Amino acid sequence: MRRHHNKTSRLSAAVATFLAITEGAGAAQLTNKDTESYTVIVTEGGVKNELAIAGGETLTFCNSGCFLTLPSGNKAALAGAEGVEIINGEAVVK
Amino acid sequence: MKPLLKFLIVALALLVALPALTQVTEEMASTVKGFDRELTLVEEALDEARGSDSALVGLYDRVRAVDSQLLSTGVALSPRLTEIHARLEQLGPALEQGGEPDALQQQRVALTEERALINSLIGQLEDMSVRSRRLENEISEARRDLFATTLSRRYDVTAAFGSDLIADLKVRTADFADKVGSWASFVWRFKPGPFLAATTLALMAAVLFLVFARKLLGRLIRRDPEATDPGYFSRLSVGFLGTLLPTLGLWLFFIFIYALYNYFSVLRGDIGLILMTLLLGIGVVNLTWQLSEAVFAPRLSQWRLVAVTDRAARRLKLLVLIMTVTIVADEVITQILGVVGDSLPITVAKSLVSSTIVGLTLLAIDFVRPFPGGEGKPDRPWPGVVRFLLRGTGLALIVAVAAGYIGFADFVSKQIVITGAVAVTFYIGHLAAREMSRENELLHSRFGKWLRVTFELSETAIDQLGLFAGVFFTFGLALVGVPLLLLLWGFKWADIRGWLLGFVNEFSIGSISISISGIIAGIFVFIVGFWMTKLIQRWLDKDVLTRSRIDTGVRNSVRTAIGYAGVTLAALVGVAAAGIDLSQLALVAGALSLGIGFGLQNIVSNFVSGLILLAERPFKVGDWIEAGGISGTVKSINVRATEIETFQRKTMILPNSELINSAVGNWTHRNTIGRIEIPVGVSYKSDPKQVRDILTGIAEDHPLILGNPEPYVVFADFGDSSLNFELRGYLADIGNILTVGTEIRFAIFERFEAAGIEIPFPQRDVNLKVVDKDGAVVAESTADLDFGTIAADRRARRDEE
Repeated sequence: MRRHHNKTSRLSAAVATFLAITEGAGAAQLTNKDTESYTVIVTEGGVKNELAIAGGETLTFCNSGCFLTLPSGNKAALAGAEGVEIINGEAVVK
Repeated sequence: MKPLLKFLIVALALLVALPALTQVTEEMASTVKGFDRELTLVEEALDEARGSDSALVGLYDRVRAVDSQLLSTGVALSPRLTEIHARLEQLGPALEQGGEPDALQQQRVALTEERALINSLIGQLEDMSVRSRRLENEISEARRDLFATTLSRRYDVTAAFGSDLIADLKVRTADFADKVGSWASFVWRFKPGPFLAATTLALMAAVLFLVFARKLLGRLIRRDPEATDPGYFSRLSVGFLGTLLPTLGLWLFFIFIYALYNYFSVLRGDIGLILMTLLLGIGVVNLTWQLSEAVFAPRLSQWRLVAVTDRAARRLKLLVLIMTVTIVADEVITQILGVVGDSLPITVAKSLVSSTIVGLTLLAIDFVRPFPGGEGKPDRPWPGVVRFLLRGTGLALIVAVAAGYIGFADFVSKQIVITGAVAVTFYIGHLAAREMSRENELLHSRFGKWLRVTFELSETAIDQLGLFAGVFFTFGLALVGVPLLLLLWGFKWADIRGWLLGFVNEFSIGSISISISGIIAGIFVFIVGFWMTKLIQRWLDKDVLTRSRIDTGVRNSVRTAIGYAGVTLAALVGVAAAGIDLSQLALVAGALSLGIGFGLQNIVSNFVSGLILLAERPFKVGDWIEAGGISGTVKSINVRATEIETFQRKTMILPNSELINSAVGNWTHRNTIGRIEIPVGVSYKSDPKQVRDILTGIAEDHPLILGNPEPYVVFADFGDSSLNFELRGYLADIGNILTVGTEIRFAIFERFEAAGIEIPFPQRDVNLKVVDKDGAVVAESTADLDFGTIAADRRARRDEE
């Protein structure tokens, strides 16, 4: 029993290490808090894309980091896994 | 008031925060400019690098290096934008009628400017990310093109072996000799001390290492020529260590000598490159030598790792070495040519020779008959597929060379040798892993014996360790071997890592997407939950419930209930962590509930019964119960069934529903007191009162029979042959019923005998009546007749004796 217990704890340590190594960046969440819809430009992995977001909508995008250009011309760089809110046409990165 | 406050805030901000932050922004701006310069440099260098694969790889790595920093730089800049945004909001829009303090206006202007700057920097970074991606693609394409042209380019072989070759050889050799000579004279004149010191130091380090290693591990790496049939594990470990130690020694020497030469600046750039290639080459040849010696062991057949004949072992070792030396020589010459100036005829001739040698060696390997054929029969050749592959590639190489496709032949021969070496190494590793996990293989090895003595492990533990090590080793090999092969075949590390991450993160089959990391996370969460449940259980049981003196039944129930609750919770959280939607599970459960209702009726009923047992506690672990025709001690109450051990030590698993639905007798429910009843018959000649007194005395004398309730004697019956009494007494622990019963019976027998009280056999008085034809009684047996007591009465006979 004792030995078994040791084994499980060692296994869990290994799993923890593995998770720590493989933990990739998650996707970012873009939420439009305004009522009007916007078109933002997302550059991810060297590819530019336009993304339309309606008022009140939430999008998941940008799996491994990206550049974001808002309609106001302001820009932001995201590492991924951030939450971005558009309030009055401006991005607020959380 | 308000403007004053604003003014104060702004003044403070200006004084404290602004300069530092702008400085950061400026630093970032220069970093961004640096990236731009680097990308421009790469773009300019690209056209020139199109002829050389290594140059292209170098450029690619540079672009990747920039690319990997672009985003993080942008991310580092972004928070400042949010800050500026917040501060501008704080300041509010410029007042139209004016009247604002100057500082406030300046602050606003400065902030707006900084925002514009950061925006433009992020914009530049964004553009650069697009640019670097395009560059990466371009370089990859250039490499592909180069590869294709190299492979498909046809050289004029006969022209290469003309006068040009001889002339080039002369010039290049002279050049090379010149370079080496000038370096040697430079060293001799200016750096003789450091040169000698470095060489001696490196040599000493290597020799010291080897001497110490041999002293420490010499016994382990010596292959005893007299040993008969050493185990596979011994062979493997000896072979492995025997390869590792000398190789390490040599590499240590090389690393030291190179590092020390560098340190004392004995080397010049070009010579350093050649020396490095040379050292690497010698290292590789040495490694191959040691490895093939370990694997083939041509002179010590009992230590051989692969089952081939002596002859084949000798030949295979030689052929493997020939191939390695050829490839290494090819590489060294290429490197030297890079230093003294490339020459097409020499390159062609060199590749031609090396490819031909590799081709011929492959054919020679094909002709080796490696496996012993048995009595009188010739040795067996390779399996068909291997022969086909060997012969096919060997011939293809030679044909390609003859046709002038030198680049192709060169590429194929190198790939074959390197891939072959890696593949064979891993295959042998795999064989080793298989042998390791074979039953008792580790146990009989020296290492296993050492383990047993040192860690006092049992035989089974070591055997299991061997199995585990074997499995682990195989997985490790696959994990190292496959990416290594892919790298050798020209895949990029970033790609492999990307695939791996993609595989681990999420991959989809049809519309179902599975995330291995999610599943692993789920399992991990479950394990943690399970472990914590156990911890809580133990803590509650050992530290809280014991101290509070709650009876064991409640303790047991509480522990079990917590265990089930914890496991259920852990499972639910684990499922959620694995990314499986619980509402979908509920849907599935709903759909299945009808089926469950019918199919799992019994299980569910038992499960619910188990819960009721835990709550109601009609018996607890350790109780002596009788249920379903079984009598025994309860060992554990589980959720589906209860384990009962009979007194014959037979474990019975009784479904809980039976324990709920039918009567359960519990000898030890509220207390362990129980009554013992011992019936005894005495002859009609005895005095009943005396009997009663003796029996009561016996009961009172016995230490395990309780005084209260008092033991008593029941005059039960006037039996056929005896007066029947019953001695009844109470035991504190009913578990002693058998021992006490036995002891009392012994005592009864002894005291009755001492008191002359008889325990009679069953008696029958038989009266015979003899009747004649008319029915008149002729004779009637009475006590005074001869046959009055019939022979059947054993007591009478006994009395006579």
